Amino acid sequence: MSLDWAEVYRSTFLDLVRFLHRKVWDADRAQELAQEAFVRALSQTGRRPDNPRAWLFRVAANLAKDEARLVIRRKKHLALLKVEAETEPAVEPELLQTDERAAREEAVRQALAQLGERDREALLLWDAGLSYREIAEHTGLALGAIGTTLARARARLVEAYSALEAKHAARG
Amino acid sequence: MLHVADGNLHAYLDGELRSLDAVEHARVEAHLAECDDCRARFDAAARVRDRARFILSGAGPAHVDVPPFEQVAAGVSIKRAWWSDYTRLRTVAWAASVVLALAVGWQARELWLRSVERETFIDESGAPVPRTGAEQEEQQPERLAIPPGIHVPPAEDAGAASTGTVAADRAARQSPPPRPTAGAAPRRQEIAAELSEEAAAKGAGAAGPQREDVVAEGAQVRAREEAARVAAAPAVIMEAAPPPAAAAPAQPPAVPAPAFVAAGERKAELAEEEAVALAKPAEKTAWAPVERREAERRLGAPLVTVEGLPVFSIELSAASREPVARVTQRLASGGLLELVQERAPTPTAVVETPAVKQAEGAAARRLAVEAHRTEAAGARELDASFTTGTARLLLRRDGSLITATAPLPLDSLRALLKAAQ
Repeated sequence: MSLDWAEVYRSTFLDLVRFLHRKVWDADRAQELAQEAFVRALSQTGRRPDNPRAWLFRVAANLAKDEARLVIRRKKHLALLKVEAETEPAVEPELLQTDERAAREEAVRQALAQLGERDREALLLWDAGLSYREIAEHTGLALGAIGTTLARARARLVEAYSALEAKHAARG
Repeated sequence: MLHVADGNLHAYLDGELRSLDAVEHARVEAHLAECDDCRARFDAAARVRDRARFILSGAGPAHVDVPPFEQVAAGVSIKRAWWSDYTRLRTVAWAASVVLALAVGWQARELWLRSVERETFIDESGAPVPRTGAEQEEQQPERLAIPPGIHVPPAEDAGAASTGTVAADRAARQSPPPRPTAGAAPRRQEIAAELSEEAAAKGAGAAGPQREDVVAEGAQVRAREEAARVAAAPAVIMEAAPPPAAAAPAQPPAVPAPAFVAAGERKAELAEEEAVALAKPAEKTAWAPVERREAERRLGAPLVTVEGLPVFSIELSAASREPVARVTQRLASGGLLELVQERAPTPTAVVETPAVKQAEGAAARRLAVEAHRTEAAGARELDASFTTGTARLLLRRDGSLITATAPLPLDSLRALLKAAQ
């Protein structure tokens, strides 16, 4: 039976973009990487993944990792340029978030940053709609450990986010 | 009553527990129906899950333009085309690299062959081909003035003073023949095969017409046999010397004889001597294992060995009239150190011995020449060479001539021999 990539695309693309967005924190880049994941999937002539959806998320996660490395390199480079130019100290990113949505996204980002890497990955995959089995396959965790991991990740996210909200409210 | 664990509670909440563990799913369902605490935990877990989902929804793209699938698929075809071009280009590049590498390798082989041949050749003007460094050192004995009393056969008369003849003389002087190293053996086989072909071609094409003597023809035949034998047992030839007597008659008398060659005397006699000298190496490979005591008795001197290295074999030359002993010791690296030892009276006396007069004496003569040259300077190391990964040292020690050969750097062999007893 041939794989209907068009159907997979329709059912997965948005989830993939959302998943990637929380990895690279850039809407346009997330969309580009999601497309790139599909391009790679369609380029795989003669290879048919058992679970196309899970396969796509794995490719997307790798793309996001590469992207993160690239961003780190760029930041280092910019930092060097900054030192050389002796410009004024950088403005905190959160202060640049003017609208409410951006501020909220920054809070989520900070809350997610407080999670362990595996917990964060499991949580994002679950939120993107992957099953426990797919999450286990993706993260390398035992199938029986996914429930516990998600329980911990959810609780930690809620706790961290609430703390950030309280801090924000205290600042006025 | 066993309460529900957090993990199972969340799996139940997410609707995953049934597919993971149907029995546990049924137990949790039954337990929640009767346990108020767990039901409260279940509600709390549901709130946390929903809150987490709500939080995460705040971090996502505000709006996503989903491009049509066909557009993505078109991108793939473009990428495929590019990849196909790239792959094709890469394949061509690989093929070109391989061809280039082979060509460079072939050229290097040719150059190497030429350099090996040049070691034994004389250029067209009759002057020896210039050499450098250690090579010059190695070649000096042949260009030195011959000490009085030492008889060196002329390579050929002026009409046949070909490079091949000089090479033949050189090849015959290699004494004792060193064992080939593992890397050198195939190369020598190849060279020997080429020489064999060359000998046959030259011999067939222009045999004899310019030679007056019959013996020379015999020498030619023997030389051809010799070349064939060398191809079969390449250990005998050390350097790439063209088959000597076979090449000699075919050469026109265009090249004058080298300075040290006494030209135009007793041609038949010399040819015979040369032919015998060529036939000799085959016999020289015959070594008979003996006890150390017996070897020392025949030699009349204690055997020189390197302390600490296991002795692999002790042999005496079965062909040589004068006692020549060979000790083989195993190096730590697994290679073999070969120490060939023979009594060496004064250089003049060496020349006078019957052994020197016979054809095999070609090698002994060379040693004698070297000994004569260097003993005057009080040096104990008479000669040193390093070819194809094998170092060779010629020493004079307590009235013995010792030829040491080992697959080692020259300095290492030298250091090793200092420990020899």
